[in-house]
Amino acid sequence: MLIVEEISKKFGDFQAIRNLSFEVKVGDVMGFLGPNGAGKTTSMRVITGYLKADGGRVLIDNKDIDENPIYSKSQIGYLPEGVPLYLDFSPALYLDYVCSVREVKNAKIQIQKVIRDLQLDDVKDVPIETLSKGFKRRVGIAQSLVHNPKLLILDEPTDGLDPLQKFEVRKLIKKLSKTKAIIISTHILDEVPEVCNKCLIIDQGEKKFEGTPTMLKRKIGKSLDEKFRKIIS
Amino acid sequence: MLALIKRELKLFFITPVAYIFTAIFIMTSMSLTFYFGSFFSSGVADLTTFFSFIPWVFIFFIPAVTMKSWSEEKRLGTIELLMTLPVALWKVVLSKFIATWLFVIFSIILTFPIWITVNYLGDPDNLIILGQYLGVIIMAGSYISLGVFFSSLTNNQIISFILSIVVSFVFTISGFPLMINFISQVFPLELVELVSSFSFLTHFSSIQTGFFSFKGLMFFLSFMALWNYLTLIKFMNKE
Repeated sequence: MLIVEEISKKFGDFQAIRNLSFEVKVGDVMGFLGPNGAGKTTSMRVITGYLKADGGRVLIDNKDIDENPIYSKSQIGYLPEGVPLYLDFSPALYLDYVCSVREVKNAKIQIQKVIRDLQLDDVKDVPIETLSKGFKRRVGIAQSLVHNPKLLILDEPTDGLDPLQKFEVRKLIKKLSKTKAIIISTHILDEVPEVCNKCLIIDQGEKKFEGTPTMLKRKIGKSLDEKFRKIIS
Repeated sequence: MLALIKRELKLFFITPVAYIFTAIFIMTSMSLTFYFGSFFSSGVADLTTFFSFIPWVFIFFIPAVTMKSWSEEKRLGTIELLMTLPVALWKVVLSKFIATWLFVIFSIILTFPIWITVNYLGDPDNLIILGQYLGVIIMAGSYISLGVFFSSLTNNQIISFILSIVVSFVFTISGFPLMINFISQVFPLELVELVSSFSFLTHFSSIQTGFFSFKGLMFFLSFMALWNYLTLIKFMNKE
């Protein structure tokens, strides 16, 4: 589904990503880990077409995203870092807008489905501005799902959610993974074995580890936190 | 693209800001016409006085409308959502411009009571007034195109507002005798002519007669195309 080949990105003198390669298939949930400033968000921005890589290429469905930007973007559902949203809109109005821009068929049914899946029913007509952090994040996830994308890229999807909501979102991600390729970036390492079947650690823009969460644990035999600290130190 | 334009318009009208802007625009243009333009004492049933104040109102009104257009998207981070939609970049850029233009046209149309007033008081040439209204609408597009561009440069609305005012002001008065006298002292005549040919007021004066000059129309259309293109380049370069 997604093939990332040797991508690099520089901001002035700062090398944000260096020759990063990986692959995500339908059925995969890849945990994208790394300390702050490691290049996770930049990588996600390159994959979604928001930023252009200086070198390398990104293929979605074996099509280069630079050559087929509209097609690639139509296949991606994206929750950017910090969950930016149009605060004056209500969730229902916002999802309706996303559906019309993305020309989603059966938009009403799709909107009802994501509203139900993310438990937004009680707040669907309230301005997003007045919602709690957890609800905002769920609206952000809803907008990334409403067009039923094949590739889902979620930048810290469970940040700010209470334990019950986290559980629900993880459950939803697991359910979605049957038909989609999913990348989630997270700081919560315990989340990785719970929802991911692959994980990738990057630091200073470079890949430090790629494998399954079990491999990661086995390699050190200690807790994931310790392993993580060891890899990036 | 229609969906993008609709969303932009909803963003305008979902809060009271749009209505406040429109009310201020109408009040300012009317009060200038009635108090400073001697609308009644001139004894002529036309809207030339009213239209002659419009460019000056636009210098402040339009940057106030355009300042948040891109700046707000950048500040909130929603630009990332917008730019990752499966829509061509030029459509995204143009939809912001068109939506803002439609909003300003809405405000311009709401000045119709003054048109009713002259028709009630006298017998104006309504075709000329229609031409003047169309001219003002075209000129508004030019102010908007540059305002939207300056909004794309920064995530700070105040900076975008001030830059737009300054540049709008320069383009408005570049044909003014005061400005021409000033630059003719420093620059050669050819350059003075070039600068004055960019003046909104020079082209607007031909519109004020109610008859479009082809040159004036082409000027405003090229002006809009240029600034929209600059906005597009700005985002293409960001990649």
